Amino acid sequence: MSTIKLETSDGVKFTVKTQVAKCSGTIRTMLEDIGINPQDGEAIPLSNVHSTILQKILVWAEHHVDDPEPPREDADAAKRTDDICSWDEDFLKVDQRTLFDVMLAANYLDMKQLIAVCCKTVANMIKGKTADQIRRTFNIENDFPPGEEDKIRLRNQFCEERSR
Amino acid sequence: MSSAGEIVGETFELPTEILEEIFSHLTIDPLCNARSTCRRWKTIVDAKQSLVEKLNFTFRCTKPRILDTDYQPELADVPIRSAILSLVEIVEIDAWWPPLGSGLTTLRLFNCKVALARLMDMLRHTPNLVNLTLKSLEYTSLECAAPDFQLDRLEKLRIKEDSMFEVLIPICPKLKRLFLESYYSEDSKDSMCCKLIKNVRLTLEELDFTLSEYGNQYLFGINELQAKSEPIFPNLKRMDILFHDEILMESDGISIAPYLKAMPLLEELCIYTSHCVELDGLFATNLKKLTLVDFYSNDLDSLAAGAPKLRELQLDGGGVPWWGDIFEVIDKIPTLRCLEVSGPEPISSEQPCLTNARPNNLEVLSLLNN
Repeated sequence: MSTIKLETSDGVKFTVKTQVAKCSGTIRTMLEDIGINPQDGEAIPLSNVHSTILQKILVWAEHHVDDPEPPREDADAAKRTDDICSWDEDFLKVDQRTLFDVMLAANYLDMKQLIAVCCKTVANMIKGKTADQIRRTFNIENDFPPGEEDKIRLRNQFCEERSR
Repeated sequence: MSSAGEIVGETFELPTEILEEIFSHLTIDPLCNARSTCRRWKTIVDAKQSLVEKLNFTFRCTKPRILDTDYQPELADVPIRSAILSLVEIVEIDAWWPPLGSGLTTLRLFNCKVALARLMDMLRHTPNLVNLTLKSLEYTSLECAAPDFQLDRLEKLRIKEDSMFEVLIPICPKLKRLFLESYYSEDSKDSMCCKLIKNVRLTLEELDFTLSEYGNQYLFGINELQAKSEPIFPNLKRMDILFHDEILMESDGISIAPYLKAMPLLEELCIYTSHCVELDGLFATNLKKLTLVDFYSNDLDSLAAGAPKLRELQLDGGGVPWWGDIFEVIDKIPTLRCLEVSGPEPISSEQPCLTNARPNNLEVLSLLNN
């Protein structure tokens, strides 16, 4: 079975099955389009990914390597967030720093399915919370000028249920 | 390990496209809350068309008042795509309308008083309009210069057969859906109305109107189009038509075959009439749904040969010779999935015979006998 080497930002080298590494669109492109030859034994540098995060992402990729291509989602279709499989749910039970680092790395590595499941997880964390609770959850600073937030919230009354 | 959701002492800067995807999973209320969390999140939501559409921010001005030079609505700091004005008298628009109108895709006016020229001024400032509803308006003046602009994106128009209709139709080159609140009036109005409908016949996909005797002759009668056997409404998919009684003065029934021939792509047809509908000779290969309201018909079984793709049949009121006719229809149209019958009176008192009916493909069967 063919393997390739990946080198993370902190200099750690991983030997990975090529098929698993190809879950990453970025690595796939490097191998197929740019023609990096992994047989040379040279590690592909992933300068934006730390070894602890890559470790985690490889666990995910190994588990999902045989997943079929997801159907193309209709842009208008109501997007569900209750269809996260229980393995992924457990996988993403991590602290927020790690969750966001996984998202950033998945974004850099172009792993659409992993991004999707992370986004659903974050969406579920937003649901049912007030703006203030969202800020506290994600440690976001309220940078609206004094009084403006009230106005913005007032504006929300402009919205109505979506009409046909 | 702490669980997701706990406060951690860092600010995360997820890329815009990731936040857009997260927000795409939110319904209106959580999305509104996310939007009022911080500037960056608000900016991201407001810049993303699909999110703005979901929020569907609507400007409402629905209390009786006069909108004149003193009117200064507190315009929200949101991308407003939809506006509803009702019970107001619109006198002046220069001060408040242009910035609001330019972003609108939907505009609905109900029970407003306005001069025709002023209303056209308003529409001059709504180049992105897709849906327009004008209902129960009172025009304080009918004077209006020929419009020097077009509503290039307008697809759906709900309007009364009035002076505004005459001014508006010629500047709607992309009109797909026309819901015309028509009333029977003098011939000159009717002929104008029909000429206007004919102007948009090529783009129309949906039409809802009352057919007058004149319209019947002019739109569907023998004319140069039919002589060339060119479809009159080549793209029409849905038609809702009320036959004005006067059409029927001279004949016993309405044969719908010629109408269907004029609209070869028609998928849904709804006919309101208190007279006999003749289905004989009907040929509508694309017809999927037929609704007959207050009809009488002797030949329901013509549907079997003439509408081979019929999936839904609704018979509301009216009458059929006997109940068995209706069940025979099920038998003969294997594509039929839905049959709803509400109170047609069988002329014969014979009981329905279900033995031959094989409603295997039917998913919905509703029979209501009043």
